[in-house]
Amino acid sequence: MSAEAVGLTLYFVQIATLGAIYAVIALGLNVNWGFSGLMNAGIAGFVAIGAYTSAILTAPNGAGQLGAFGWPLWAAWLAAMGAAGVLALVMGTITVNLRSDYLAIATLGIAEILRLIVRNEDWLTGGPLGVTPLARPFESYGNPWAPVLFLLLLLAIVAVVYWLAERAIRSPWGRVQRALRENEAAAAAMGKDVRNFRLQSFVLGATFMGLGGAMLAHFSKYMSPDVVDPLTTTFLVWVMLIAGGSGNNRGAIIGAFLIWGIWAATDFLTAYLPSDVATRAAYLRLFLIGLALQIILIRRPEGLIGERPPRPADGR
Amino acid sequence: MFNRRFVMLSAVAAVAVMSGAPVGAQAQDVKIGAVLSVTGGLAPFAPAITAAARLAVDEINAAGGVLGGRRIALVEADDQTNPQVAQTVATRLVQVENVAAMVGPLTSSNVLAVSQAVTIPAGVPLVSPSATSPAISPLDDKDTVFRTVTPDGLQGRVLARTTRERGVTRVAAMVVNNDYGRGLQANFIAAFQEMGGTITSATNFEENRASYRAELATAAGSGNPEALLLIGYPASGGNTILRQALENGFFNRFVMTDGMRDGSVIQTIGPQNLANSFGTSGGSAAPAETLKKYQDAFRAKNPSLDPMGAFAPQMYDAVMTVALAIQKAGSTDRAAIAKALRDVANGPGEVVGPGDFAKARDAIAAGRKVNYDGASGPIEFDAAGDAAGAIDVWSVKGGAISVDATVLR
Repeated sequence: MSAEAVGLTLYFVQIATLGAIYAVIALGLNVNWGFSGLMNAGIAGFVAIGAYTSAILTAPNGAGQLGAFGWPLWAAWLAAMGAAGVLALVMGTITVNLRSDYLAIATLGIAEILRLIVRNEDWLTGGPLGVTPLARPFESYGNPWAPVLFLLLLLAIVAVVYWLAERAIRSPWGRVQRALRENEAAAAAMGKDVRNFRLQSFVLGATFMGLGGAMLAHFSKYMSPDVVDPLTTTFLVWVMLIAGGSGNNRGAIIGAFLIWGIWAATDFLTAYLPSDVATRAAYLRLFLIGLALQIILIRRPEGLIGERPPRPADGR
Repeated sequence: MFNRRFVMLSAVAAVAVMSGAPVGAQAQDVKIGAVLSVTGGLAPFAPAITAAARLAVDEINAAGGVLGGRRIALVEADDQTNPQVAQTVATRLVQVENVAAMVGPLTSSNVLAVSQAVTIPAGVPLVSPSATSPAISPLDDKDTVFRTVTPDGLQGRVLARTTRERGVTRVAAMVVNNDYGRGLQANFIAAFQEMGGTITSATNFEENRASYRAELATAAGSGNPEALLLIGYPASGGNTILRQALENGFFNRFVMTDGMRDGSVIQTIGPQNLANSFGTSGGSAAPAETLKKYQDAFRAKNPSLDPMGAFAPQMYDAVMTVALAIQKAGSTDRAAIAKALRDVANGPGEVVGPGDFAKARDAIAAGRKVNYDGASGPIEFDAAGDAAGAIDVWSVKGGAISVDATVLR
C-alpha cells in the first residue's frame, strides 16, 4: 500500500475505533431504553466510573491520584464493568421504580454528582489534571499495526456485547422487559416482579456502559473529566440510539458508527470550501448536524432500522 | 433499500471529496496542521488565535515561503474543545494530510490526549500556543511536544506579587474547576502566602451556572477579604460572577488572569466598575518595536480583532518557529523539524522577530544561527519544551484594557 493509503486507512481506523467504543455504550443504552423503557440520562456517570476504575487500577504511578495497583488490562476492564454494575445496583435500588421522566432526572443528577466528585477528589482521580499515562493494548507494534490490532480487539468486544444483548432480548427475560415497557400494569398482573426485572435491565445496561468507558480511557491514553463530557457521552449516545433504531441492537451499533462518523469526521469538508465561507464552516457544520437529526426524527422516528419485534395479534 | 443506498452514496461522496485536493493547497506545499477549538468551550478565543496563525502563514508565503520557494499551507481542524474529537481530527492531519508539524491543540486536556495518542507515536512535532497545564512538561514525548505559552507557574507568582504590591493582603479565591483554574490557583496561593498574604477562602466553581450568589456570599462572608481572585472565562461564568458580586455588594475589587482579559468583560460590567481591579496574562516580553510590527500587521488584516487577545501572539510565534525549524531542517522530515525547533528559537544567534521572516530564512539558508524573539516574548524552549515567557500586568483604563507592566522570567 502507498503511504497515502496507509494514512487514510489509519484515519478510518481511528474513527471506527471510537465508533466501536460508542457502539458498546449505545448497546448499553439500548438495553436500558430500547428493551425496558428506562430513560437513563446519566450515561456519562456510568462511562466515567468505568473509565476511572480501569484508569486507576492500571495507571503506573500514584502521583496526584490513587494508583500504582498494576492490574492487567483485562482484569481492570472486568472491574470497570463491575464498578458500573454496582453503582447501577445501588442507584437502581433507590430510583428504578420511578416513572421514565423522573428516572431521567434522578440519573442525570447522580451523573452530575459523580462528575463533581471526579473533579474535586484529587487524591482519588487526580482532579482536573486527570490520570496519565494509560497503556493501550498492542502499542509496542507501532504504527500502522497497533491501531489496527486495537480496533480488531474492540470490534471483537462489540461482537460479544452484541451477541449477549441479542441473546437477552430474544430470551423470555427479554420478552418480559418488552412487556414491562409496553404495559407495566399488564405485566405486573401476569405475576412479573416489575421492580426486579427493571433493576436487572438497569444494571446490565450500566455494565456495558462501564466497559465502554474503560475502552475509552485506554484509547485516549489519558483520563480527565473532559474525556467524559456529557455532550458526547450522554447526549450523543442518545442521538446514536434514536437515529440507529431504538430497541434494535444492530440499530444501536450502526447509529454509533454513523453518528460518530458524521460528528467527528465531517470537519475535513471545511477544507474544501472557499476560504471566506470556511471561517464560518465549523458553526455551519454543527447546525447541519442538528438539521440532519431533525429530519431523521421527523421522517424516520423509528430510526434507520427500527425495532423488529414479533408481530402482535392485532396486526399493528 | 433507501437506507443502504443512502449509506453507500455518502461513503462514495466522502471518498470522492477526500481524494481531491483542498482549495488553494498545492502538491509541493509544506503542510502545517492547526488543531483549533473553533466550537465548544474555548470558542470565544478561537477567532483571534486563528487569525494570528493565518497572519503568520500569509507573511511567510509573501516572503517567498520555505525550502527554496515552497509555500506553507495551514490545514485547520476544529476539535470542538473535546479530547475524542481532537484525537480524530489530529489523526486526519497526521495520517491523511501528512502534515510536517502541528500547532495546537489549545486546551491542556486536548494536548495531553492528542500528543500521547497521535503525535508522539507518529513523531510529529507539536507546538501548543495555549496549553498551560504543568502535566504536559513531564510527558515522555521523545522531545516532540513544545509550548510557546508560559506554564502557569510564572503567572501565579507574578499575580501574587502584583496583588501584594497594590496593597491587598486578604484575598478570597474563586476559580473555574478545571486544570487551568486549579493549577493557576495553587501557584498563586503558594506564592501569595509566602509573601505574607492571606487566602480567606478558596472556592472552585463550575461553569455556566445561572447564579454564583451562594458561592460569592460565602466567600465575602468569611475572613473579611479585600478582593476577589477570579480565575475563569468571561462567557462561561466569569462575567456572571463579576456582575453578581457588584450587584450584591460582595466585592468591588477583582484580581484576574489571562482568561478574563477580554473586551467583553468591560462591555458587560462597565469600565467604571473595574477601576480598582487588575490582572495578569501571558503577555509579550517583546520590545515595543517588535511588538508593534506584529500588532500593525494583525490589525491591517483583522481590524475587528485584538492582536493581543489571549494566546494570539503565542500562536503567531508557534507558526513562525515551526516554519523556521522547517527551513533549518532542510526538509519536511518530522524528526528533523522537532530537533531544529530549539535551534531556531533559542539564543545565541542573530535575533529575528515578527515581520523578519525573509531575513531569518535567508540567514538559516546561509548557514547562520538565528534566535527567534517573537510577538509573545523571547521564545526560549527549555529541556521540557516549555517557553520562558513574560507576564503582562493589566488593568482597565479609559474603557479599554491597558498593560501596566511586563515581567520577564
